[in-house]
Amino acid sequence: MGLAILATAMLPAAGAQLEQATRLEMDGEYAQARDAYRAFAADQPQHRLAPLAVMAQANIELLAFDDHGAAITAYDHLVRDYPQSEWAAEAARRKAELLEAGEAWQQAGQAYGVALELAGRQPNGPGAEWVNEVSLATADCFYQAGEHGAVIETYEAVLQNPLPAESAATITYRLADCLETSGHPELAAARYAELIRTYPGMSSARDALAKRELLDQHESIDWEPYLALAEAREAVRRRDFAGALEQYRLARDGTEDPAVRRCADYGTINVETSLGGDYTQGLERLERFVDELSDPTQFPNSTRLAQQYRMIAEGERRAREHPDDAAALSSLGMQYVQARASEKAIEVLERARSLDPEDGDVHLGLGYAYQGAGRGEEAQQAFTAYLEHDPHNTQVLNMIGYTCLGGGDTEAAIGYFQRYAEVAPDDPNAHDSLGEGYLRAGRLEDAAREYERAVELDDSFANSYFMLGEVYRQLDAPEKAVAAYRRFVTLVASGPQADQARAALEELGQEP
Amino acid sequence: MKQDRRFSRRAFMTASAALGAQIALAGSGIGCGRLTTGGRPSAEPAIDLAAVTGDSPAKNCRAAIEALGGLARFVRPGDRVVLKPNPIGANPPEDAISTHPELVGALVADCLAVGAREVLAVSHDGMRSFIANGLHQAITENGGTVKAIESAADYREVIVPRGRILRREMISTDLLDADVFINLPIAKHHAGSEVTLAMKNLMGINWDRIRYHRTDLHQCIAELAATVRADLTIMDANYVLLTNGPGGPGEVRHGRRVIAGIDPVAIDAFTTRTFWRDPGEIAHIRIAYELGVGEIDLSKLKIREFAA
Repeated sequence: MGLAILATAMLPAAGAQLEQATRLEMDGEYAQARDAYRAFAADQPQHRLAPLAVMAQANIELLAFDDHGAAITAYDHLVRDYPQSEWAAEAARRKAELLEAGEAWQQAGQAYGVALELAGRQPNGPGAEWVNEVSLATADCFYQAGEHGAVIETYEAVLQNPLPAESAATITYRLADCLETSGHPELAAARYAELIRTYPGMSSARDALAKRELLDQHESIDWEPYLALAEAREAVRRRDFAGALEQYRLARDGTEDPAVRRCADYGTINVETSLGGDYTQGLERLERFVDELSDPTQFPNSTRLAQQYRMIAEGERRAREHPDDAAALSSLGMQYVQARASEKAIEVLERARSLDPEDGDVHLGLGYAYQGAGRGEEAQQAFTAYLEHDPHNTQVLNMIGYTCLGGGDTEAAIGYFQRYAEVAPDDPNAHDSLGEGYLRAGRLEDAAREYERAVELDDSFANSYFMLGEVYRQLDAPEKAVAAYRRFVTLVASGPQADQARAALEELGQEP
Repeated sequence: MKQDRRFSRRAFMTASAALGAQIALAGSGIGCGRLTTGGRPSAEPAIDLAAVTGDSPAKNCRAAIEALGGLARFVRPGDRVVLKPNPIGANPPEDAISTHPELVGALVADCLAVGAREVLAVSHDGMRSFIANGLHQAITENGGTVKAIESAADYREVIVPRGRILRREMISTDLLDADVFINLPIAKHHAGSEVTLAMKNLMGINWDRIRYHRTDLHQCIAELAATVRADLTIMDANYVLLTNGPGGPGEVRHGRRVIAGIDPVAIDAFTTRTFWRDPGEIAHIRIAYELGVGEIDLSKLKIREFAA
């Protein structure tokens, strides 16, 4: 765009150079953009944006030109010359990803290790999710390389860093699991116990409760409060709020352990707010609770929850002041949907719909709300009404298709999935969904064709391989089924579907 | 699949690599619709930002552009101009939900007056909003056209070299192919991003906005701003929504002001003062500065504030 020259003149030199690069990128002139970044980093190597320029150069080599060698060279340049930069860890990670894609497992594992080390040096380094993903990747690569000792070392090293509670809990579980499967039951039990005692509110701690047999052999744990916490959460999931409150009370009264008592208090606030519907009071209680925490990361959702309560309380106030304001009701209804207060959401969104039947968003919100309340038919009607306003919304087309499947209306589901595939013919998920529709209808050849189309569009679309395995078994094409299952377990090494795929391979007379 | 189940980490990576290969095979074909033309007037304007106060949004807008050197500096005869207003809601301008129709209408007329061949307003928001809040009428009565970009076919993939989260992004083809892109945000509070100003208003020219909310909204907004650059940004602060944004209703200040400039970080940093905030407190403004998108330090900018 010609205005680059004008704009360049108006900004400081560094900003102008990077702005020019952006404009070149918008024009698809990636070679020139890459050269602009390279020149910037060469001309001003001490500039605060120089590491960013090297990173952008590397990313263009990779994303625009698929030149892995040039990308790795540039990532190495960044790690070598700017190890303190906030981009260094990400550069090491992306190099590692390329090595991993090339199945250079050991090198990839080492490169991921460098990424973690660089991240650990930064006071405001990458977040918990990043550390989680990279540590998992490191361990994955060392596992593939057959270096189980390195897997354990990786996790132990990562746990030396100050980590948000959720990450620390997840990695502790993985470490324990690895120790257990590597023939170190005592060490594994110690890690499981540490996890349960230190992070009783985390989902990985609940997973560790399943290791009771192992733990009872090596550790002494007072199980009741932890089991009560787990049961409370299960009751919440079932929407048995009275049962949940009772379990939280048992957990709190059954121990002096402050970690358990905090979890019970947090859950109690949550449930009582949902039950009583007084979000203003709930917000006050939650804010007091968070203020008293020494490590707020123990409750990673508390900030989001407080924000949700705040917005609902504000929305309720507005709805009281403006009971005929459809927009205010719609906004409040969506807040209720997000809070999973489905019945309240239905009530206010129905009022909003009566005031403004043409508002598509209200229909969408109602679809979600009815779905959350288990009222599939009404959900389907609301989603259908929404589609009149936004007929090409692929997510809704997919959702309504599955709502129809859930209600047993397979032909209607197929219709929606076909529309999804028409709107987004290159989306593998569209063909995967359509394949599922055909499969339910017993149209196996059609299902196979759609699943094959999905993996043709994306040869790593794991679910379609799994489903192809099932379809080909039913079509009595065992060789194709074996190939599909094998591909699936290559892509998804663990989990319930992987277990099913391995069992299917065994049934087909293959080594899982 | 029922929902977009998260790929396994390895599967995602392999998919990315495969997509990269496809793109490489296509050469530099992605995002190649626009041509880098060059040759525009390059005299350096005296100021970075113009902030104009007055009762008429149209007059404020015209005065701000004039202070930056006049519209002919940005739009040349024969140009195809794409505008991105904030068109949400069915509210009147006084509610401060959508960009003021009077401002947008005046800009459409002025673009055509300096010789633009076409002026097109786009946004992912449905046509219903454009019609209900008066923007459609203001644009079409002044000779412009409106397009709700609601289909994946309206978008084209570009890469995001300065992205941490984003690696590739689908951007409006109309915008990528435009000769001139003018961003027309309105200054509002936003429950998710704290404020919605120039950079947040770019969410509306990209296809997958849900991902932004599911990952890190501030980071994604900044990365998008490092990927798409408006030639001119005109901030509507004639009415400013101070609370309960972006949909309102909320507390509205009659700001009577338009702020214009090229640097989106500078414009957003300046406009945060309207909310009594420090720009460094707003994460996406700070991150955009760190990504080299623009200047956050107002003391380094030449700003002209005056009455229309």
